[in-house]
Amino acid sequence: MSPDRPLPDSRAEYDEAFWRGAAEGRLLVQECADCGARQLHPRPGCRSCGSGELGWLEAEGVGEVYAHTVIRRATEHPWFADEVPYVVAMVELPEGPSLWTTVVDCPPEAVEIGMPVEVTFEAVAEGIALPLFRPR
Amino acid sequence: MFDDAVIAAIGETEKSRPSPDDDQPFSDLEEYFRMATAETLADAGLELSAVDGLGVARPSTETPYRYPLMVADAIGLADLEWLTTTDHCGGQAVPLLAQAAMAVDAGVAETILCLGADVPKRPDRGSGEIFPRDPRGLQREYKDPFGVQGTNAEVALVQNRHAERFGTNPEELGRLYVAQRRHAAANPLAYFDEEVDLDAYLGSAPIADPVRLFDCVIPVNAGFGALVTTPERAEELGADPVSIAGVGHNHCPTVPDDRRLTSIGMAPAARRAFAAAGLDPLEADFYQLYDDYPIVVAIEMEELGLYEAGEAGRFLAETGFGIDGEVPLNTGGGQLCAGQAGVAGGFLQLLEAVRQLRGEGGDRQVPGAERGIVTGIGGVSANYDGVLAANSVMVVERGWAA
Repeated sequence: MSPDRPLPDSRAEYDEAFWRGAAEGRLLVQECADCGARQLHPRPGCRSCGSGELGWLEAEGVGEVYAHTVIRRATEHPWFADEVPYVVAMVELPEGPSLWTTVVDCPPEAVEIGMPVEVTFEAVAEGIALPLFRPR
Repeated sequence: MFDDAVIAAIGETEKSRPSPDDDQPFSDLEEYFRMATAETLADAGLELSAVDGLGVARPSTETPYRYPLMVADAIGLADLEWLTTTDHCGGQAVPLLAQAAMAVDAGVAETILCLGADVPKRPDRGSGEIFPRDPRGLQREYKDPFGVQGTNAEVALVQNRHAERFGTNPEELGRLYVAQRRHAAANPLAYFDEEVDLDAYLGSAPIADPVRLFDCVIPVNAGFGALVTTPERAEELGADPVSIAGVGHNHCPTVPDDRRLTSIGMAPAARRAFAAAGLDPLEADFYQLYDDYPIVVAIEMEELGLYEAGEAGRFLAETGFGIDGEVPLNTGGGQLCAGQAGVAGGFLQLLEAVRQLRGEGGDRQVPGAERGIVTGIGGVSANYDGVLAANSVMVVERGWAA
């Protein structure tokens, strides 16, 4: 039996907009209406002031690699076994927050800290797209 | 820190790694709790009926709700005056023991058994297949779909960033592993019983660059117990007591922007524990530091105050981590080399500290050990824009001072 691909398919009310945005090709970050702080991943409250008044800001869709790895063994999620070697990276957005993602469209060894990247969306299931990044 | 509570007994089972190719002993989770209980009571010379409180570290393996009650029932405990649990992932031994000490100190119960066990491996399933995912949230929604391979991948980013920021290299980190393998070889309860050299560490299989196989813990099945009681009761039992001189926690810590991924936020917990104990961290006799990866141990040592930020490379290259070194580290082999029993893993550090203070370390005994440091880390070290971690620091001391 082949393993299932891990999917972001169990919505909480407070992060439904993030995934709807991704499916529409838009990268959204949470922005606090009270203190202006921005955050990812989405949460029901603001990490800076505790406010529940959180809105959404569409990010420009560019960023820089903050840290990265090349996965050599799918030790936890066997679905990815045929994908190795591939990159897992934390990408920092100019809007402030960072996200865990992958860098595609280049050899894994070419990825380095500080590398400029831009978002690209990959549809992985009906109504579900992942924000991935590629060299800019 | 606690006027009326000591650690009076400990128990630890042997480790096993059953798999389809390796016919090692396998027991159900509740059986590990029962075995750990039997070992601990034998160490104390106590009957089960003398236990009037229970603390259960929640396993990672799927369990029913009201699980601590099930554990009490499974091991035959009744009429408990106090029952609690922790759910702090791998580092929960320290907070569980702290809770028990508070309860005994307050007179809520007199003799509390603290248990931790996990079965990360079954004969038919490996550890990665057993750990259940979050029903929703950070890991389930924002890491797994992108191919993040659990903590191995997360810590790879930590090590990548630490190398960029401080120049920390695998040769330096490997010294921690080599020292701990030597300690494991002298520990009959450790999974690994042979030493390896730095070349073997450097040559171990790549997992998630720059993390290698020997940067990762060896998952095992095991159970652990510790008994907390009053000093008077400990004396009646003829126990060799260990006291808790200080404890500090810092859960869901924030770290400065420029230390994202290279800090775990343990420093405030360490300051609280050392202030309560009146301990200069450089003066401890041993360091049982939660070791899910060598780079995490290196970061902990900075945050405990053993070296200044930016000095990691020099510190790691020049410090002795053996039992006769300046920083006797994970003297039983730690989770890297003795084995990690899932989220009960941190018990290994705590129980080894008790053994050292009782002078029961055998070939790995630190001569004249009087005071030592134990840490615990639970949760996920690397978040998006925060640190989702449970940090605990405890100072333990030989005997009973009061």
